[in-house]
Amino acid sequence: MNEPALEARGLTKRYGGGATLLGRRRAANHAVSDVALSLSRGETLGIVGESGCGKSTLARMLAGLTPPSAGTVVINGQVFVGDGIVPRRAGRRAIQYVFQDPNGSLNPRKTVRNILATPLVRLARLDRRRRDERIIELMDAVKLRSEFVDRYPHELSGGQAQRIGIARALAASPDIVILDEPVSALDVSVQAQVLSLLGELQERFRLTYVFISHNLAAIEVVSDHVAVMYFGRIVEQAPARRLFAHPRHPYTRLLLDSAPVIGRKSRQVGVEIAELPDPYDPPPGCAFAPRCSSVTAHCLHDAPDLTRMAENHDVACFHPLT
Amino acid sequence: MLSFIARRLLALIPILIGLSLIVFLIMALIPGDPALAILGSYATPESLTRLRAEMGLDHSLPVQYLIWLDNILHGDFGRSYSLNRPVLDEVVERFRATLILSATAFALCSIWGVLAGVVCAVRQNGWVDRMVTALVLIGISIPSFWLGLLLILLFAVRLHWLPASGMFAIYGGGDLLDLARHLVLPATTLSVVAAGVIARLTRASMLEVLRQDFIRTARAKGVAEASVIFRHAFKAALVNITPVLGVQAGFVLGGAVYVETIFQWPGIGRMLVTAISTRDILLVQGGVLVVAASYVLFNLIADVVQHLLDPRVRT
Amino acid sequence: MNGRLSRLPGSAPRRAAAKAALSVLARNRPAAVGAIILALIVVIALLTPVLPLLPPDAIDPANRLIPPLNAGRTLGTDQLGRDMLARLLWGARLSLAVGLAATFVAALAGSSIGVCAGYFGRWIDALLMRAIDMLMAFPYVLLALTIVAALGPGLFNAMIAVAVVNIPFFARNLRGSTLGIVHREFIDAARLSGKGDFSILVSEVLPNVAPVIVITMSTTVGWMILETAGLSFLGLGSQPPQADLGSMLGEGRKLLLNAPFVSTIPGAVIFLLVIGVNLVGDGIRDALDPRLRSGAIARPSPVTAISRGRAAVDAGHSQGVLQVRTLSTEFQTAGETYKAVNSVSFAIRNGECLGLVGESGSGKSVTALSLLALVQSPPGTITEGAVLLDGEDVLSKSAAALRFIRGGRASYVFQDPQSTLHPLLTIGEQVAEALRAHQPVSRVKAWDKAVRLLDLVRIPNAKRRAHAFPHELSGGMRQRVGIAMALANHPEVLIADEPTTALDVTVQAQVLKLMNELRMRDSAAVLFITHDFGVASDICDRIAVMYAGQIVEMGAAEDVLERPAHPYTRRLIDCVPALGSGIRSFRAIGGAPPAANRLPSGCAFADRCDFAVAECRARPVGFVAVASNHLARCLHPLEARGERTSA
Repeated sequence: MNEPALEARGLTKRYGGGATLLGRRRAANHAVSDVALSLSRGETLGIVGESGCGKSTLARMLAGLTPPSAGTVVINGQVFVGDGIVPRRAGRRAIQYVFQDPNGSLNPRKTVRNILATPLVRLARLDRRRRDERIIELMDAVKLRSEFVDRYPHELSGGQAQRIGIARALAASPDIVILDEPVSALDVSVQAQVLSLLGELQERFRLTYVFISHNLAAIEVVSDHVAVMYFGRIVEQAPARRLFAHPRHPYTRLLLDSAPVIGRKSRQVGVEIAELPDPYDPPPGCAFAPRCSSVTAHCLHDAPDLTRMAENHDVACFHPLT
Repeated sequence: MLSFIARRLLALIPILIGLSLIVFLIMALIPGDPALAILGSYATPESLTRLRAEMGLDHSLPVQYLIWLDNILHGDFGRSYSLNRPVLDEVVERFRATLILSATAFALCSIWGVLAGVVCAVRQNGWVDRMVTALVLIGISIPSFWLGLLLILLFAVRLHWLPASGMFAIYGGGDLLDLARHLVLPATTLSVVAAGVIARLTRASMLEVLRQDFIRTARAKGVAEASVIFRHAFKAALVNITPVLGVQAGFVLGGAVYVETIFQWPGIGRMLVTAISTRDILLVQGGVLVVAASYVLFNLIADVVQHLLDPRVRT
Repeated sequence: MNGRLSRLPGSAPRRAAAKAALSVLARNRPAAVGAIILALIVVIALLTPVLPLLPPDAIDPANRLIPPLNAGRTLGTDQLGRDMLARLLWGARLSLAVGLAATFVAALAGSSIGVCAGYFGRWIDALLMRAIDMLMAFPYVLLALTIVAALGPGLFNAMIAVAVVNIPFFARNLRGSTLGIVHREFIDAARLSGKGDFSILVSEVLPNVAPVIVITMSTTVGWMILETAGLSFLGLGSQPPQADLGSMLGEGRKLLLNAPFVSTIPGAVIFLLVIGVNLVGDGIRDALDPRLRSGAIARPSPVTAISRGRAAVDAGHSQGVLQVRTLSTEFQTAGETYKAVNSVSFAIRNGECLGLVGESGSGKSVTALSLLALVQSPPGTITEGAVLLDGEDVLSKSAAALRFIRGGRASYVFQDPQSTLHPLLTIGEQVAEALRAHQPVSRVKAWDKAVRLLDLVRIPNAKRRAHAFPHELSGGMRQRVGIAMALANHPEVLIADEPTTALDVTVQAQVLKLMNELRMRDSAAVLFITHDFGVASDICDRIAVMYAGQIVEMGAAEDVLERPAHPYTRRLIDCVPALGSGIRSFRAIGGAPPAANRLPSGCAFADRCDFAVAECRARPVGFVAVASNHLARCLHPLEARGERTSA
């Protein structure tokens, strides 16, 4: 497995920008700047960050739902998005998406059968008989009784609806699944059910996952590699175990220290007030500098690039933690 | 704030141009020959040609439009052939009467509508609410031209309390009191429908707001109930009510057509109906344009008020 | 909170939902009356050609203006001696047909414009909506007049004019609801499933906006009938000898003084027709609007309905500043009773923080709101129990007395600072208002104090920020405002309902730290509601775990978290592997909690419990003391069985 299953190069998304009719320049908002990713088949990449860090925009670009302003997404060696290429059926089959809001991602006016049939007709081009068989297979795979196929989404609980969302993503047998906060809207006990299911499915179908979450505990459990995002950029990327044991970026450290853990009184570091910079008028230097405890003049003037600190461990910081 | 008004004023320009274009095109596309309509079928070909040239009908459409627009911008709306006087003079005179009528009606319906709506919401499902709801239903279902007739029959014919027609008494009168007496019936008739719509919307909007989380916060703070209703709920509901008031102003201005016809009010609506049946195109154009332009201005005011009320749209 | 409550009854199956909509329509008495009126008119209109009527256009000058009920003429004759009844029925038929035709034309054109504008957005939206704005720039009737002026008088032209005038209503409504749907995730999902724009429009968007089309039709059809009649009344609609109701009225108007019936009777028929249409239309709107269906539109009263069967509990010796005894709250909707809180008792001492932990639907938030009777009524009712504040029962107090307790001796911090702050008042005003509701201070003084409070909760540059509106602040800052408001009057009890759930982790940590400091400063008793054991562990002295409306375990924080006695607590803690533990598997709890309207008589967790025996399901399970000050509602608590941790 030399060829990565999914690769992103220089992915960038700007909103706004351009010029008004009168020639005045409009402010541009860099939701995602210059993100590069690579993961091989069967792996899980966790992307963690707080609201507004651009992780959902990144996820949508990977799946071809939002066209990037720059950069490309390559799936199994073929360009899927970018360079003026629009997503095609073959690419669509290879990459699928599970949404955060389990009920919002299912059309309230359609039965489960109808929802699951769409990708089977459009992407897999199955005939009616094969379709019905496949729907039963899918329901079985996500551990729902087959009687659910004729129900409507509002008759399902959050956990059940999310299983249907997963089944829909798996319908056309993709290689890669983007999981965008797949359990955030669910209760803790249901979260665990869905996460275990995702783990089983990954093993069974050799799926490649991009798992996006703000929940560090969930990220730690499911990911092989983890990328930490802040203000539209990846600030640290490393194998999960390594990242959680030895974070090098001060922001990663702050995240880990802030997460509430049973039996641990919080250990706050960094500056008290946490406000993101204005996305339309970002500071010239490191975006995290105003909150960073080891900030220097250098940080305020230049933005650090993502650089390799150790094997498989990239950090975007002038003064990485040791 | 000033820049907002300036931006809105700038945005008016395309709307006004569009308005004038619609008015011009509709009239220009009328099948048949306006010159023929004016002179009648016995007209000589020479006089027809002369009149056509006079009216600028021998130019292409875009040129006709530009000439027309240029004239209008110079205050020249042409001459009404049926009245034989400048269109602008007639329109201005008539529009004044319409404004008096519809402004009174609009004030009436806003006050009644908002008041009734708030009371209904606060006393939801009480007898006041039920009664007002029934009245509102009648109000929005009643044809104003029928209501006007009934009011005339009752108050003018049967009871002789109020005059049935005109703006001033024909002999003498002419003072404000006389005007007010003549205003009562038409203004009431005109305000009924809009009052119903406004009351409905105010009630629904208040009920919606009263369910919001920030109302619970106010109650959790220990704010007095009257303050919860007026300072918190009504203020938030007003943001939804203002645009509807703007739309209702249009209904009132337009609905004046019926009321003026019934009560012989010398307004622009009655003038338009007559002008349409006599095919006095210039008069129709002028009348429609003036009323529409003033309505656009009114909507601008509603927008500005909205802007003042809601800090969220300000940024 | 609101969403969750209104969703309670919404989980009925779809066919049942359709049936519910129908039954709402049927139970709606005004709508039924309207339906009868309308049906009558429609049936008569349909039957008109076969009814034994005189010809409507037959002129008979000898029998002019016969009053109704004379000479065998039921409704008399008009100025030309034509039979009024016949003309009225034919006229009603015509008015109805034209009004409906206009409605369909407007609905078709307006909805297409609106859906396309909303779906495609960008320049298509800009172009279409500017055109609609142009139509809206004319005062309603004036546009119809202008169109008729151009097309020439006539019923068909009047119909077109009225339809065009109503297009903007459809276009705007449909654009709005389409916009609300286009950004929903299921549209993305359909695209990912390989669907194209056309297919998405037809099979994903349209079914979801169809109710809006029907609602807009039902609210505008009355208008359109009125407007077409109006144009005919002005002589611009139907032309003689053809007559609809409007033109009959218009012609008869000249005879108002001699023969009022010639004009008033057609007017009455229009009125009847339109009122029937509007009554049915309102009924349809109510039935299709899901918010109205669940009764959520009802105005919540300022105080929760309280109907305690048992006499109020005696104000016995006090175990703490806040003492809650057998508190029960129910929701009644659509004939179902949902027991959200089921006999909950606890006490909090001064300066103590009790964490109330549970999953959604466990009743923790309803418990919090019940304490000061803030649960929305309808549909909520407090059915049992007492809330003792310094030994006095809060729930027995009058609304006026309760108002002084709320925000005074006991105050709240709510979950979502986005929706819980008033969007149109500055944060300074909102904090000052909390002060002025309880203290006799001047406006200026209250403002100064408010600024000091904002400073206390570490809002940078408080003096200037006090003039900011909530939407100008970040989530964390807004929650600080909520805390400032709650602390304004130095409450003895602070009730915090998931105050950090809507916040990011780093912000959450800061807000928790702030809350902890301030509660220490005021030595207030805190009820802290959360679903996160980590957060509870951070801030709480004691923890109570809720499940299906009951507290199932309560004790000191470290006891409950490290030595949970109730199997539910144990399993819930194990659902989330601790951060940094390196564990890569989950131990999920199978199944789901019981529905709040079908609670079992025995232990509510029995069906999901590994250790359940018949006895557990037989009868309600009481508290068992597993250690000093550590209670568990379990017949076989884990500690007693010698099973310590299973993870």
